Amino acid sequence: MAAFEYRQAEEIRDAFARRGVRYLFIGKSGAILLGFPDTTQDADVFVERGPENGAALAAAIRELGFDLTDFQAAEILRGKDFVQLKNGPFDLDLVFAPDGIERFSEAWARRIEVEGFPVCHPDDIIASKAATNRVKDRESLPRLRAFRDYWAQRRRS
Amino acid sequence: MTNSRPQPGRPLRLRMRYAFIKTYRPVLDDEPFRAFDRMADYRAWCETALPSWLGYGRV
Repeated sequence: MAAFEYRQAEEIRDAFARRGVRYLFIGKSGAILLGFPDTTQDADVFVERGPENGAALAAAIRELGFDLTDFQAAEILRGKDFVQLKNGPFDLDLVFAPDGIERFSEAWARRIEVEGFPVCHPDDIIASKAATNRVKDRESLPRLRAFRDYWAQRRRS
Repeated sequence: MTNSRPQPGRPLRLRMRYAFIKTYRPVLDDEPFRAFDRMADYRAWCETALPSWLGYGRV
């Protein structure tokens, strides 16, 4: 399995757009899109829960080349909180209920567009990681908060 | 929704090339598909199934 690349982010963006999937890049992959200079392994997307969006998502995932069985597609449609895909051209985590974010609609309203990629606002990425509170999140949170301040200052100037 | 200005220095395409790496993570990378009803189930699974040094356990 090769590392996630810009071209694959474009493929997600384009396939999801064709199917009308409502989603946001979240987690460290989202922060990297915003300019956070760090490394990560997977792409994480926060997907709006709902039957229509779930069906569009499953179709888009298959279009991207993921080898989804009917059972696995049904799991996505059922609206699990978290789905981890390692059966495609790259690893992808589907998050339907991230810790620290109440509603998709609110995160969507705050989203940032970077080269056509919809990305969670840094405040939401930080809120999610702070609520999750894993060892690896605790390691990166101070730098993420400092980056958020730098990023916000650049936007104002 | 707002648009983010391009970052100075390296373009996004190049930054992504260096930002995403792939290394093998025991257990986590051993199944092609996992689904969890609740985030709490996933967090609990991370704490019990994954080696602690991967950093997925809660503080």
